[in-house]
Amino acid sequence: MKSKMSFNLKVKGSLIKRKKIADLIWKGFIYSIALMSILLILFVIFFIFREAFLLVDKGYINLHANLKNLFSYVWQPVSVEPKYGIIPLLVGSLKVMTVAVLVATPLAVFAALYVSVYSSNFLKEIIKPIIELIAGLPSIVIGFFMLMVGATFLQNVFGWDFRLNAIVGGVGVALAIIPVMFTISEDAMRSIPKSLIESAYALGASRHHVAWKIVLPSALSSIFSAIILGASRAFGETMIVLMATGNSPTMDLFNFTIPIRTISTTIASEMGEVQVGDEHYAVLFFIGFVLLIVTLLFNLISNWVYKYIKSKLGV
Amino acid sequence: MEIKDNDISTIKFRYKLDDVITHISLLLSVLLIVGFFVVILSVIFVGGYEKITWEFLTQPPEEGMTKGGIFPAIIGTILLVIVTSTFAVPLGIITAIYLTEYGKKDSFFYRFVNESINLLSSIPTIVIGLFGLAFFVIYIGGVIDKVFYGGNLNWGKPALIWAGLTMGLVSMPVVVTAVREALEAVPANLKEASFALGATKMETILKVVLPRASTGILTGLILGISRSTGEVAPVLFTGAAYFLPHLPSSLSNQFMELGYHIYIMSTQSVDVDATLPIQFATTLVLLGITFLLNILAILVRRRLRKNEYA
Repeated sequence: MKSKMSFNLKVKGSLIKRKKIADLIWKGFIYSIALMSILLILFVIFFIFREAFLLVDKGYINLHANLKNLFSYVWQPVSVEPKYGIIPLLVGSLKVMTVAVLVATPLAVFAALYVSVYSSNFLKEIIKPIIELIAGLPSIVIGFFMLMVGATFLQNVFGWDFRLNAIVGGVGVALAIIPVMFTISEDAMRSIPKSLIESAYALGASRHHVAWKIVLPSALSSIFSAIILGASRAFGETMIVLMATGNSPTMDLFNFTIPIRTISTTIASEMGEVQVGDEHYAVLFFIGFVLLIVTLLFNLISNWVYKYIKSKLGV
Repeated sequence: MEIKDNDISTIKFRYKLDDVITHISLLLSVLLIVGFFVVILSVIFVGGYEKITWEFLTQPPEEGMTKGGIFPAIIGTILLVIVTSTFAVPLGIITAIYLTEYGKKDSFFYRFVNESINLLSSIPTIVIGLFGLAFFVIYIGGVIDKVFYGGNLNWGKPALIWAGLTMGLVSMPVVVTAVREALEAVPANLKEASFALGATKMETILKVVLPRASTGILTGLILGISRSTGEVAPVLFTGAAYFLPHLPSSLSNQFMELGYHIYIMSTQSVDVDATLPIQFATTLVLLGITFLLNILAILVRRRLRKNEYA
């Protein structure tokens, strides 16, 4: 009797030990996969930098792709004297971003205000899934629509010289960034303490007071970071812009009704024509690296603005 | 100061008026967004539905895309999604498990992992595509060719597997976000009960947390699939091809993809007008697939939320 019991304890002990070891291995497994997501980001930065560094490595920087050329105003990669000026591409990206943010911000923020202050629960249950569906809309579909229908419609309304231009692309991109801006704003508005809103109503405030003077200011930090995130998306958006903006590099900073070309669309449309390792290839990776760094900066700024406004306003 | 009755009624009227103006302008922005969306859906539906027949879905393109169907593009997209999900879904789920169950919110490692996932989801997809070209196609593919094939070109070129891996980087953050939400919704007392019964953390996660969060994980899976169906930029240089006479038979083959097919037909084909109905129909097919997947995800998630608060 006695010996049997001690045997049981022994088995139990080894079982616990085995379980503990399995648990430890599992934990190591989870941590190493988690580590991988950090490595992935570092890899993305490193490998794009590595190919862009061919500019220096293979001496292209002393040939056509010298600094003066890279920061000139002409992008003409396929010619006897290739010109790799990224300024027109930056201008293009900035123009699309500006249009998209100007169109998307009021729509997304007002829609979020509507959902959190005015709408009935029933409408809320309809509007929010629709916004989720818009978020799932492939950018190629939006691009195709803008190219085939949206561009012609807008040209007929405004009488532009060029059917495909920065505004057409920007409007398409706006639809692509509205869901993320809406979601962030609406989340922030929903997390405002109910007591704040109820006390406003108790003081006799009407719904528009609550909307403009309580809900909107309280969510301001999130709204600003949503705008910057949306801008970042718009800056790097590829397929919509590729299809709907005419795809030719122009310099005019304030004319939004001419065709443009952005950093992302240049990469998309020219990478197929280059030889791996040649000068044009390295330049495309270089502008890709620029795009990556700009996006990372946008993210940092977005976080920073969020914290700054939050600390300033105390909300 | 004396307040007269008609002062009050003026103020009341002003309030009412401001309220109505605000109401209308806010509602208008909702209607604009929804209207834009509905117009896109209906234009593409009207432009494409006549063309969609069984033949269109099951025949390869003919005569320079002006006739025939989109069968290879559909198969290519499905293969791409399968390869992508094979990598992105397990990685996404495990990363989400780390973020919810293991990471301490103020530790450096947690913040780095969290921030990496955020960054990964905000890097432009075209840059991810560049990375796929530089890392998977040229670097990894090149190494495989050098080691196993004596330098002959087998894997160091655009291929299904590289496109799938690249697309995985795009859809993984989507999976992480959705699964994370599901795991966070698992009540703490369930986990505590499991620990109290002597279960280890591994057993608790595998036998209590994951089954309980299974609907949410399903949502993550669906959203990840939807994302990888719709994206084009990551596969531009890593595996998509304009036209292939044969279906891909190995992971090292190139493939046709619906989104890429639309892009090529609408911008680079010789006769854009002749292929216009096919373009609309192809867009409608792509739209239909992503739409159904997203509606499914919304329904599943709604069920999940109802169960949570019931």
